[in-house]
Parts: sequence; structure tokens; C-alpha cells
Amino acid sequence: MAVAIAITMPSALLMGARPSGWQPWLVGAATGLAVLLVVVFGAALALPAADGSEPIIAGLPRRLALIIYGVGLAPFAFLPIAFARDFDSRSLGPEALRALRERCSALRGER
Amino acid sequence: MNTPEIVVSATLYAAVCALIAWWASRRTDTPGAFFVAGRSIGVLPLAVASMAAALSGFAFIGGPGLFYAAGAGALYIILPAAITGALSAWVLARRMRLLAEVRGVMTVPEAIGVRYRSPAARGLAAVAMLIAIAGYMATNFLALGLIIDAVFGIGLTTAVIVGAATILAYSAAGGILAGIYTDLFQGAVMAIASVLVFAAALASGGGLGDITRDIMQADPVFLSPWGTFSPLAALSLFFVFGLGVLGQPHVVHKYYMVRDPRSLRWYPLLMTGAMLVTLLLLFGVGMAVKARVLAGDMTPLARPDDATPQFLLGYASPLLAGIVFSGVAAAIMSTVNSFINVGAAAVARDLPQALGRPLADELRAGRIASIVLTVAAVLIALESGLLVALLGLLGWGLFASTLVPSLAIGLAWEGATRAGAIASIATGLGLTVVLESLVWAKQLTLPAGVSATGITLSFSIVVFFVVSWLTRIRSEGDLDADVRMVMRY
Repeated sequence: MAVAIAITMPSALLMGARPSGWQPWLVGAATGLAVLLVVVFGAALALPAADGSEPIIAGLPRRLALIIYGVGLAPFAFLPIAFARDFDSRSLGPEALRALRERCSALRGER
Repeated sequence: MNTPEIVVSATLYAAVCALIAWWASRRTDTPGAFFVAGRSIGVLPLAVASMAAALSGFAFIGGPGLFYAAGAGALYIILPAAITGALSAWVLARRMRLLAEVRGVMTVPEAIGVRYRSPAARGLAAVAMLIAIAGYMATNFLALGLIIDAVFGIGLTTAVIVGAATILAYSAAGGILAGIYTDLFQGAVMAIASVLVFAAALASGGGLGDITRDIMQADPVFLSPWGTFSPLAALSLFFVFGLGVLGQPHVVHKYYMVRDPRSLRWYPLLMTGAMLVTLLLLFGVGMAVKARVLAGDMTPLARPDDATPQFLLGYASPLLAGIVFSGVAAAIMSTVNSFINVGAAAVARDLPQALGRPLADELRAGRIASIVLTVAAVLIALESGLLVALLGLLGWGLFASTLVPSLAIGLAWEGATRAGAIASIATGLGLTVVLESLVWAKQLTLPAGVSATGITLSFSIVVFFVVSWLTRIRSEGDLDADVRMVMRY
């Protein structure tokens, strides 16, 4: 299941790709997310099971700290930034949108 | 619970909501204003309103209770939150906003109808949404009634009716315009309440490290990575709530409303930040109450859902308790008003247009539909305890299994076909209703760790791909050239 999630979530992210053009920030974000999910879930499964003496890291037992900070917080540190860097604002300005509306309208007229 | 501070906080909160609703209702004079706020919303209100709509009372009541009862496994419901804002924006925001630009699309089923040139797919999606919405609204009205009754002591039936009438008043009068700005205020109340309670929760146990040590000494499994769940069960929750977010219509339909599409650049940062801050309460209260109960400072809870109220009574000032009770009401109301709007659009716009009989006055029809939906949900909440429980379970699964393939994947993949969309929506609808009903009635037991929603979501995605592949040769006319251009833009 951990492997399935590590494949599914980044793959879903890649559905945001536009057919034309190389989007390094999107590909980088998806790759980073896949690596993060594999490493964190893998470590949580592989490390020794819980007992009262598990070391505490940043206020939480080690394995749970990995999950909470690794999966629950770390993606926030790079996904929104990657999205902002990938975002193509130029194609969404008023002029560009007007041109898009006209082209789409023409295409509908041709149908 | 009805201390003067709580009553005053709740009254002030209601007064501000009423003021916003009055302001918005004066500006709601077209179907576009009613259903998509006239595409006039800035990205900050949009992000906070999306957070408020996404988080229902679960974040304040059910969530902390589940964490207290099941340990860290319960957190897998909220762990995807750091991912889902960016995921949803990347996959849907641009495409949905552009569809609104070139086709005047206002609803999620309408986007599906336009994508596949299919009134049938649009109508089927609207029906699935209405079933899910009825359940969500009924359960949220019941929860809101409990809160109002606890504060004002007016009895549950009266409290449910008062709560529903309050939400209906601004939803019907001001449409989603009132919804967005009350959501902005409600989201702010939720975030402030959450941060304050989180600080109080940490202070109650001497800090996170000490709380963790107290719990680890008595119950190390509670803070194991999966809590009392199996790894499969916990990870299934992560899958369902991570991917399922792409099919939540009351959240994703807000992409239509943004004034300047360029501002969507900052949507994931703002939305995810607001979401993570507001979820602090769930984590903090769950930890603190467990530690205090294990230490013998609190009696074990009779019901897990008592975690937040009991913590507030024991460890928060009356003023903070008042803010939090307003926050709970805010969480519920912000979610319900989005459901009313989405449901009203399905009744007044999607179903008539799918049946080839568009209504002349959609604004009036939308207002009437808001009233009908609210009355129906109140009746379900008050008259049918069994039905409300079942419908409450259906919500997330129905949205996810019917809309994730047809909307999210369909807008990204040109190979998707009309037949694939209809088959996957029908599969998601039928399978979710049957499977959830059988599990709920204890006629079917799924293997440990497997959730009905996980099965239906996976199955409807598989059906979507398989049927689309099988019908690819006959699907030439399924995608209009202008829609294709939007998808590639």
C-alpha cells in the first residue's frame, strides 16, 4: 500500500502537466514527493516497533515524528513553491484570455 | 456549557455572519452572482473559504475524538493536507477556471457535461452529488443543533431548526457570494480558535515532549506510526483522503470564482497554510486529552466526541471556550452553505439542462432549491436516525468515486471517453451505495484495513480507464475542439 501511494499521489500530481512544454518544477515536485513517501513510509515500517523507550525527536516518538513531519508537513515546504514557480501567469492575463476566448469561439463556430 | 462568555461569543459570531449575509444579499442579482460569486473573489478569501468548506465539524469534534480513541492511525485522514492543496490546484484550478472563461461553466457536473458533450454524464454526476449532499447536510445540521443546544439550551429539535434556518437565510439570499465572505470570517475564527487551543493543549501537559513521554510510558501503541490501526488501514485512509480531494465539489467549484486567474499561483500556499494551522486543534486536543486521562487528571471519556468539550471545560478559559464553540459552529456552517449552493446548482441548473429543459429564472430556482434541500436535510436529520447515519457515511466516498475519474482525470486525459465517464460515475454511485449499505447493516465484513471508499474509488478509476480504452475508436466526437484547447492551454 505504501508503494501504491508513493506511485499514485505523484502520478496524480503529473496530471497537472500541460501537453506542450517541459515543466521541470512539476516533474521535480512529483519526483520529490515520490521519494519522500517511499523513504518515510518505508522507514516507519522498517524501524523497530514501538515501546516506551523509543527516542523522542522534536516532541514525538521517532517513527511518528518521521510520519508527521515527513509526510504531514514537509510537502508544504516545497509543493506550493514548486506550483508557484511552475505557474504560467503570462497565459492568464487579460489579453491572453481574450485571445483564448476568441479562438475557442471560432472553433465552436466551425463545429 | 452556557456560560455568559460562551453565549456572548456565539451571539457576536452570529451577528457578524448576519451582517455579511445582508451585505452580500444586496449584491446577488444574477445566477452568476448566486452560483459563482460573479467571478469576483480574490485569492485570499478563496483560499480561506476553501479551507473552511473542506473542514467540517470533524476537525473540531469528531477528529480529536477519533485521535483520542484510535491513536495516531486517525491522523492519516488529515496527513494528506500538506499535499492536497497543490495537487488539486495543479490538476484542476487552471482548467476549471478556463472552462468558466470560455464556456461560462458554473458547476462541477456542467464541467463534466462540457468535457464529454454528455448531458447524461452531467445528470448522473448531479444525482450522485445530491445524494452525498443530503447526507452531509443532515449530519452537519445534527452536529450544529447539538452545539446550539449546548450553548443556548433550547432543545435539540429547535436547535437544529434554528441552525438550519440561519444558514439557509444567507445561502438563499446571498448565494455563494454570502457563502464566500461568511466562510472567510468563519475560517478566520476557526484558525484563531485552533491556534489558541493548541497552545492551551501543549501548556496543559508541559509541552509536546512531556505529553509524549506521559503517553509513551502508559500506552506506546497510541503513538506508534499507525496507532491502533493496521498499517494497511492507516495507509488506506491516506489514499482515500489524498486522492479523494480531487472530487470534492464544494471545494473545487471555488476555482470558478477567482477574479484574476493569475492569482491562483498562490492558492496552494495560502490554502494549505490555512488548513495546517486549523488542524492544529485536532492534533493538540487528541494528544492532551489522552495524556491527561492516562495521568488520571481527567476521567476517561464516555464518548470520544467529548474530547474537545471536556478539554475546554477543564483547561481553557471561558472566553477561549466561547471562541472555540463559535469556531465549531463556523466549521459546520461554512461547509453546509457550500453544500447548499452546490446542491441548489445541481437542482436548478444541472438537472434541468441535462434533461433538455433549462429553467428561465435560475436565480429564483436556485433560491427555491436551497430551501427545499435544507428542509429535506432537516427532516432527515430529525426524523431518521438510521438514514442520517448511513447517508453521512456515503458522502466522501460518493464524491470521490463519481467525480475523481470523470472530472479530474477526464480534464487531464484526452483519451477519456463519454462512455468511460458514464460507466465510472454509474459504477461509483451504485457500488458506493450498495457496499456502504451492506457494511453499515453488518451484512458484509471487509478484510481488516480495507475501506469501502478505497474499493469504490479504485474500482471506478479502473472502470473509467478500461471503458475509455474499449470505446476509444467510437469516441471521435466526445471532445469539442475548444475544450481540447483549454485542456492543452
